[in-house]
Amino acid sequence: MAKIFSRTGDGWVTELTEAELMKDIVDGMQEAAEYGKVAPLSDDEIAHLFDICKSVHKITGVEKGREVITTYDGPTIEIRHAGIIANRQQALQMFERCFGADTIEFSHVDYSYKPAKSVVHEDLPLFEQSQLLMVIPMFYGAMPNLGLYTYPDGPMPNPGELLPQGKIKEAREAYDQAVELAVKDMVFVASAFYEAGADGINFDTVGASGDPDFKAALLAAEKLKEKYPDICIEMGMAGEFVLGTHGEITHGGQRLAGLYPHDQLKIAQKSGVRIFGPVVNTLTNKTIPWNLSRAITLTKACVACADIPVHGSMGMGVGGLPVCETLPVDMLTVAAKAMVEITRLDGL
Amino acid sequence: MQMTRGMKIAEAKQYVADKLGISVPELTDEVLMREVREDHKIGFITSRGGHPKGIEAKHHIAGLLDIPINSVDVFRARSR
Repeated sequence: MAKIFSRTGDGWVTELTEAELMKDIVDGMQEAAEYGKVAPLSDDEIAHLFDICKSVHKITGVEKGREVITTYDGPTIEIRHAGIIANRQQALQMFERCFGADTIEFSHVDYSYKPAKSVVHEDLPLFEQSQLLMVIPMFYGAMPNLGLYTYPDGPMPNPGELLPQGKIKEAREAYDQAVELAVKDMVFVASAFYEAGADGINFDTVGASGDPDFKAALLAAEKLKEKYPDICIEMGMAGEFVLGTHGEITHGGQRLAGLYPHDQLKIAQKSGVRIFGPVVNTLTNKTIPWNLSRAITLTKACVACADIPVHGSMGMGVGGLPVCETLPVDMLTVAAKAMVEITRLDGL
Repeated sequence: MQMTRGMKIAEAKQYVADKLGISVPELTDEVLMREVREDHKIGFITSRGGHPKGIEAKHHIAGLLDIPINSVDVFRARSR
């Protein structure tokens, strides 16, 4: 029997028998169900994922009628990464008119709210001009990035230095103060761009510095929602699991450390977030079918309890996709089709 | 529809299709949508003289879908 073309989590090609493919799909699902404490996939869903993963096509696509929309994080920065000399306005138009983007995001190249704050007044004119040119909804986006608020990048003592010294109380206090500063910056920048006409605000890579990072984004979302009741806030996560870098932070009575995507979503939507972007990380030593099955199981649980639209994060090293700079089109499209058709999410 | 009303994808597609007077599958028919977009003045991919672009197209989208679009609202407020 011919072997099935596939790839491992680092992107390299591998081949699987049908039995190996099915085993990887079932194992990946069981791992997600066990660690995330979520429902496993049904037999029909497993069979559908199996069929999708057997694709022999270079490009795979969703059934007609199952199309979803796209949101982005730092798209204009990607044009720079491609070495194209184009300003942000040109990059935004490329996404709208060449790449089929359904929404777009304006952002500062130093993609965090703290550095973005210092250039708000320089960025607003270009943003306002761009908004006149665009038809698709335009977000403003950046990361909370709490790491920038601690020494040597910020005013707070560095918990990374305090914790090895056993100074747990001091480390937590530093995080608490960093949260306050981050919230002020996020609300300041988001307010400036919303009042200038941003159609939405994106908090991206939330939780990158653990539970205090997530806390800052939740507080900022609540403040913005109170200030602008109609505001659309998108929250894209940094990882599948909120790291307990502080460990004792709660929000609405819920401890943030250790939350998986479906529980992250519940808190986010209570805080006024209108679009949620769950992340499931890729294990490089496992196959893509294993990673994809795991990602789909966790994401499906997230969609199942969502009252708001869910946009799955799919890119390098997340959403069942390989950790490599140039994503292979075969696995990228297999993963996108499987994610959309099985989890029934609302966008990517 | 997701951004302003928090609609899920299926509901959002149906809403837009109803407003445009077409079926949901027709929303992704590039040839048909080129005509629909021109008829409703909501912009299309190619840049043609005499047809709405940018915020002008977005203004028509807000009216057609009966939704508030922040960029359009800000533009209108500043145009008064």
